[in-house]
Amino acid sequence: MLNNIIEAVDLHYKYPDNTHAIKGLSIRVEKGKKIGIVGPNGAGKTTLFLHLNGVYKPFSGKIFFEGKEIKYNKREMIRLRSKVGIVFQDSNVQLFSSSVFQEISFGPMNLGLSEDEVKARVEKVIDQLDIRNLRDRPTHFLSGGEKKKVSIAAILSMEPEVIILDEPLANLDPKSAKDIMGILEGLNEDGKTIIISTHDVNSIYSWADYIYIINDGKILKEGKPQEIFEDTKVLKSANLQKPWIVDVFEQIIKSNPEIKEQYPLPRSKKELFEMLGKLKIKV
Amino acid sequence: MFIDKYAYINNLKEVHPIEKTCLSLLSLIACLVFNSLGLYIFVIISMAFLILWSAKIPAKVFVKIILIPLPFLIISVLTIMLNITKDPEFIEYGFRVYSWFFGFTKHGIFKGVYVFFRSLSAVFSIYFLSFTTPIVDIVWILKKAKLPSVFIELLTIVYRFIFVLLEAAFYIKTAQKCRLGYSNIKRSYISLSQLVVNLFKKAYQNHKMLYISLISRGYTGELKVLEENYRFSIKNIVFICIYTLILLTIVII
Repeated sequence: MLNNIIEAVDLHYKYPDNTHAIKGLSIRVEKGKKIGIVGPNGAGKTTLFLHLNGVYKPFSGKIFFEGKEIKYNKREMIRLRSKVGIVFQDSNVQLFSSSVFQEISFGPMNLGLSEDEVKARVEKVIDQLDIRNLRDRPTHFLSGGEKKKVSIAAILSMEPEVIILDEPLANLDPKSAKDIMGILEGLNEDGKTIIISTHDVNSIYSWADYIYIINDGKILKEGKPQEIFEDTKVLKSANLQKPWIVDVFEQIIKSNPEIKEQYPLPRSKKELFEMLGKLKIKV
Repeated sequence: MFIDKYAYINNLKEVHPIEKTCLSLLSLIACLVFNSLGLYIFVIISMAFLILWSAKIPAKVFVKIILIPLPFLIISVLTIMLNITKDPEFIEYGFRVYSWFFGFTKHGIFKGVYVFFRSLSAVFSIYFLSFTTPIVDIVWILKKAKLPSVFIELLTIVYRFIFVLLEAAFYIKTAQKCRLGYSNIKRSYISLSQLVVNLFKKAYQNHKMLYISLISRGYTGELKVLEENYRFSIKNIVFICIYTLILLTIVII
């Protein structure tokens, strides 16, 4: 319990037009873990995220940060939002400044830090994400992948504990997507807790420590990736596909059931190939 | 959108924005205040030289941009110069169509030429600033000039979202074209109206999301960002002083 950095208990939320977007949703996020939130469009992922940093106030239910229930006063909100950063799906709506440098400085300036401190943070983040070549370029000349990196940098400069990314891989080319996943991996190694939402079951299956499947404002299933993606019934009701690694593995054990006892479900392409190697299947 | 692109990549980008603004405004004010053809021509030549030579803007781009105000200028100058009258006394050079006289007077031509060069020199002075100074720097100057922050924040966001909406408009238009949305005049009007409506909706959605994303980063009603540091260069300041002196000398002579 003490290790949970964020916890949401039985959230309910209705939009002003009476859409019941979240219907009794609970999640627990352990510190330093990689969490995947998977679900179709309109399942309530973004709405959930905006609860976790206090932008939306739940209709009923509670949210705990570092074990304490959050209060919706001004000072507490600024603290919470500096600890829980959200990278939005559409970089265009997040980047308000035409200068990459100023964009990244916006968050830390709001924390009331000194100018030297802000500058140090901005330069540090620029080096960390390897985007020095973008520093003096105007935002509107950046590509989709570059904008995404700047959006992430703009959040990192606030030095949050939890980084939430809403569909970080949407509309990115494979190279940019790989870069972004690499950045997230690095952040996680630095001890940051990372939550991402996605439709990309293949990436999330190999990447996440723990997965929630959300549909229609409710949790359909939660658990380790292997448990989640073996459950054909749940996947079908959330209109999701199985990761190809799981498909291949299941195809293999269909004709060789004894393998299931010897090998666990492989998590990545590498693990799958190692298993095939040990089984003396040439790859 | 040409100018905007070159403002970020020209050779004078690193020069202190105050120096560039000073030079541009000084020559602009001189052209508006003083009545001297020599001054106008000097400003036009020197600004063209600064834009093409110092800032290294490609001549092709520069000419294209100059061509934008030229038609307006020529039409307005012609209306100043041309007299249409029934009384031949008002015309010194001209021709006659039935009882009407079309033509020019010496004084009118003189006035027209002055207006033409005065406007062109003012345009060149402003072009120097817009070719060499990105909006971010201009915003910085406005801040230093203690303009109200509401105005400055509005400028920042409007400028940024011109590009976002332009991109959205471009995508919508392409999508409409792919389905023959502009195949005839009637379809074009309908498609265009839908494009505008959609753009408004998009602008509204973007505004909501922008607000949420700003709040998420601790926005409390003021867009606080870190300013870049610029360095004054003595060489440039001396140049600006000499330039101003030359302008004044021309006026006095």
